[in-house]
Amino acid sequence: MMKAQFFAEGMRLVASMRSQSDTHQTAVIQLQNLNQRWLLPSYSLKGSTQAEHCLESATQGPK
Amino acid sequence: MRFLFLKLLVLITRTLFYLAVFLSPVLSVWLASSVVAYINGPRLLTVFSGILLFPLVPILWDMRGRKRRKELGILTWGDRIVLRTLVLNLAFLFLLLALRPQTLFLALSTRGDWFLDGMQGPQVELARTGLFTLSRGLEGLYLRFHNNPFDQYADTTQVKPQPAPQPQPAGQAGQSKGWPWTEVGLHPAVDNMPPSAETSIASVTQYIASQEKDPMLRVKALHDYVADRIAYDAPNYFAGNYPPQDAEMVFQRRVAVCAGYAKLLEALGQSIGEEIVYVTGDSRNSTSDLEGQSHAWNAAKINRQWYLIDPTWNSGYVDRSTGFTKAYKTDYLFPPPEVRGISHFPEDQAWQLRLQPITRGEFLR
Repeated sequence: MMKAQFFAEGMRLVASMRSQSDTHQTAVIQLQNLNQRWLLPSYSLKGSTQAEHCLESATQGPK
Repeated sequence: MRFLFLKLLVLITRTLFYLAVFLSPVLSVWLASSVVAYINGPRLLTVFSGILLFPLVPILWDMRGRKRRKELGILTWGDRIVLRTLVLNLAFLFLLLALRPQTLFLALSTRGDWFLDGMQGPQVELARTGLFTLSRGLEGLYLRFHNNPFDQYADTTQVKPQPAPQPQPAGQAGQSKGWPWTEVGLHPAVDNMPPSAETSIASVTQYIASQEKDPMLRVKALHDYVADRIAYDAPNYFAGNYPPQDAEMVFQRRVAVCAGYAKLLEALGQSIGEEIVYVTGDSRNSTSDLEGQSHAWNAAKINRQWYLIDPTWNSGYVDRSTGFTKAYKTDYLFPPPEVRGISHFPEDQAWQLRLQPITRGEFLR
């Protein structure tokens, strides 16, 4: 769920553009971070309060 | 002539029958598999439900009736399987539509193209568009069971956004006026308002109008007053039991749910001639389901341009264990319609304020 604050910080979602999609092992989320904000993304399973940190893979352009 | 007409009638009836025989299991499997994908069920269940609908249950059903048929057998095995498939699938479709119309619409709108996952190309896009257009056919049924309790406060004679929506001026980071607001706190007129100015809706707005001449900042001050002075009525929200949310009542009690916030902001605007309207629809956050829940917010016309405002979401946040936590923010004060449209879907598409309004299905996807 994208919050207004996310866009207010100058970020853009590149992929995935669907609210629901299937994944077998790894879910990849691509962002554009034009203002070079520090990010600490995490995820949690539906219904769970426990959040896990996402792994950051190769990036293109400024981090 | 009469013979020709009869022949044509038989041909049409036969074509319709074969179409129903072919389409009913296809439709049933599409619906069932999309629901399974939507609820994140196993793919195996999709395949199993498909095989059950055709041919497993029709064949088992036919085997069960074998004894009785020995006495009066008229139809061939093929006829019986066709008829049983038709009856079974039509019954399945009818039951699904009758018992779970909302889930069906949500499932088809979001995952009706699950079998095209990962596929791209013009033909695939065409197929996807076709599937989602078909799923829109259920929107009427979805809305029939989808009631917004905050509609009762809507003014039925309310204006529509005129002039038609235009692209909202892009905000610049670090600006002091317009979205995104950067490090902007409560308006000074709200922060320093003397208690004597807070005796009535009219006295509040007169004080704000006397302190702020800029139309955009004046509406921000009205928004700030509502977002800062009203506490969210968390106990009643979780109980699903809303006391009256009219502006005067909210002003006196200082607690409200979304409808009360929006009605008070509307009344504050009307009191000094600002065009602020009450909008209802659905909103969703990171913890809610895709379709969101009933909500109410505002739109304001400033310098001939319409903007969206959500004083409730800018007042703080709610948690079942801790209740309401006050946390003023400006994230939902005049955001661009495209940003706002991710979390809010108005019942009247005009209040999307988009040049190209999106469908409910697109909002869900």
